[in-house]
Amino acid sequence: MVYLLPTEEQLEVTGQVGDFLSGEFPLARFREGAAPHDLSQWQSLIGYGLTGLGASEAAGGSGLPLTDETLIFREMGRALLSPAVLASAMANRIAATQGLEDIAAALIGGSQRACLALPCEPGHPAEGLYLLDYEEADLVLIASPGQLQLFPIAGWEIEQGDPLDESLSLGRSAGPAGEPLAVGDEPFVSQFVLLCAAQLTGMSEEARDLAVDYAKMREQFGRPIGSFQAIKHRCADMAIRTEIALAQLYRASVTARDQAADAGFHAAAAFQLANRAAQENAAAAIQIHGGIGFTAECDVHWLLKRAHVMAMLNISSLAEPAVFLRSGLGREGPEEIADA
Amino acid sequence: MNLNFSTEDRHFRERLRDWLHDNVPRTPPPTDSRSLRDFELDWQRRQYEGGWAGLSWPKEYGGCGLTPVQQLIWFEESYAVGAPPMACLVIALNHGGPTLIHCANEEKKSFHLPRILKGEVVWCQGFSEPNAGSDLAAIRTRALIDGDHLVVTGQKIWTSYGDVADYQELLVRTDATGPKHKGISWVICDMTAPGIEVRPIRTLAGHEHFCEVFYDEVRIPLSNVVGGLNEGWRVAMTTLGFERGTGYIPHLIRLGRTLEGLVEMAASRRSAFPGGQRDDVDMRLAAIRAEIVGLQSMAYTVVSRGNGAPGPEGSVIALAYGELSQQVQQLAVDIAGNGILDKGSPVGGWTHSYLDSFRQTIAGGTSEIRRNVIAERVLGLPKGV
Repeated sequence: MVYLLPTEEQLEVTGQVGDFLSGEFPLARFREGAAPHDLSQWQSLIGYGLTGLGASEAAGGSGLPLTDETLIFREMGRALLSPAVLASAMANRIAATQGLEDIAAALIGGSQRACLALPCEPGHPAEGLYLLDYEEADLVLIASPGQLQLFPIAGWEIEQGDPLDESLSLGRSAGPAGEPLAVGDEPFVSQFVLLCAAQLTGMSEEARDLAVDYAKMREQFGRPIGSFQAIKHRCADMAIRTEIALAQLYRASVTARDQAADAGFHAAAAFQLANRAAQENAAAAIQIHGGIGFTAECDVHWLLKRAHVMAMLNISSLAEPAVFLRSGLGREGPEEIADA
Repeated sequence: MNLNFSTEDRHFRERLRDWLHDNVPRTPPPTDSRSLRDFELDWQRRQYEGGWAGLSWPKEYGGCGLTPVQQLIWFEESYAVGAPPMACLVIALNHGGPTLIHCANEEKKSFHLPRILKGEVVWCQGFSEPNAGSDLAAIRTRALIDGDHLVVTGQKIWTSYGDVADYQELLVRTDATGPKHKGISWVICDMTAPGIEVRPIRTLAGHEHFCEVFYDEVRIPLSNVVGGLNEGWRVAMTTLGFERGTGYIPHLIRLGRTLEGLVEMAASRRSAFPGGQRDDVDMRLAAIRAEIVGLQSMAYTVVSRGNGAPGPEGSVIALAYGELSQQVQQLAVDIAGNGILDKGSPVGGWTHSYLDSFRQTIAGGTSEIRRNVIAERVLGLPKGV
């Protein structure tokens, strides 16, 4: 049967997580001072099982299908939860497939944490790695094109950086010496891209909602600014970008869960659409807020800044446009019928 | 959440594929209205004889009663083998017919519906007027009651295929005293009635498919009013409802195929672009491809809702499709090189489709009006003044 919408049951589960996050992890938490914020609340996140949603119950996880995990990561995106959650969620999968059950269990149970790292592009003053929310991490998950690698962090020299996104801590390091503990390619790379797309989609929704709520409330010329077409049309564009990204996110989550041949393609498309929606909606939300939107006390700038961080995480091997154009071209065909 | 077609739907696809293979017209549709009418009616008759007429129509009215998922399969399969897009039969099959099904009495249904399904008649739409475009409720074409007839005088515009249509779904003002939405009636107009004059309008793309229609004391039986006198706005909204959601599925499938054609054209012209520009072209193609795939995914969310209440994606699809199809055509112009100046060149097919794409953000509701609708109905922003 073809049903590409979340079920009532899924909406209830994800809604509970969403309520918890919006209550305990409001964007306003970032106003209060230096990063990292979420790491000090790690056990509260672990209480909701957020690093082990997809892991089996036997391994201490929640045993949820990838579709449900995707919907929950979308909620985490709305709350701009630390990328250490994504890193730990992916790290335990990779560790488990390579026989490192104790590490996987520690990541799920919260006694260990992985931080996310990405390679600096060549020519940067500090070649090596950027690390995100790395304080007191036990492991590093390096996200590079087509591959995820897991290293222990012990012994690394990390220099504190000055992040664009001040809601995170940013470290620079020359990177690992020695061999990784575990390495993941497909399907883990596509799953990682999918969960990034989920967070970016949630971010685009949050930006849309903040802007629309403000446009309904803020009055000028004696009426809400949202009654003016110039504002309305910007809001409509935010809704359009988000709805398209969301539909594609659903499809990518289903194809990934079912390990379909085009799962990687749909994840790459979902990332592309969600990334654009998150970037453009955050920028539009700042504009709709006017002067207050340019201040640090208005929360929309966090969405813009995190979108720039997330944009750097498309490690899909299909991210290259020429490759993307050659993939996913199959249609419902005789193969499909032959299978029946 | 699921994307597995049921066994029943797979068998449906198999049966359909065989039939299409043997029956789809192999010649491209002609361009002039009269020949196009004959071509499409012939294809419609063939579908009727094969049991494939009225895909979404209920079985009790002679339709196929297909589920939205099966309609999606139908369009996927038929376009894959080159079936022609629906053009002059759109109003009969997707607007007029469904409106009759929902709002007309048995007599009107039993007269008109079989003729539509059998490929005997073409319908057109008489909604817009020179001074009632986006503000459709401002129509002024007057219908005075004279005994058991309406006497219609006025003008309609943008009536596609008005020059070859047998019937028209016509909005007329039957009460000019109250609020503008309240005094409108939806009537079936016989296009051969005395007093009707149809003048084709040439579009910027060189077509003459859409027309002005003038009415000079045209007598229409009162019994042709559908849904009640002065109830025409409500009836028309029923009709316009069919423009959203599932109605865009065939367009989205075709747009995906158009983009594949563009990727091929770009590949054949690679040598015309130095490396950096080539990357730029690939990037634009990839970005558009992702958007099209996203919209097609949205089509799956639309069919997932079945025949239930439409979700936000209904109004989003119409707008996004129009703008995206223009982006595809604009990119085609950028890639094609100066051959685009010559309709007879190897890339000349894109010349026409580019020019024709300008209607996509105007016809059936401008992008500006659609944005207002999304802002007000989906996002709940206050109405403007």
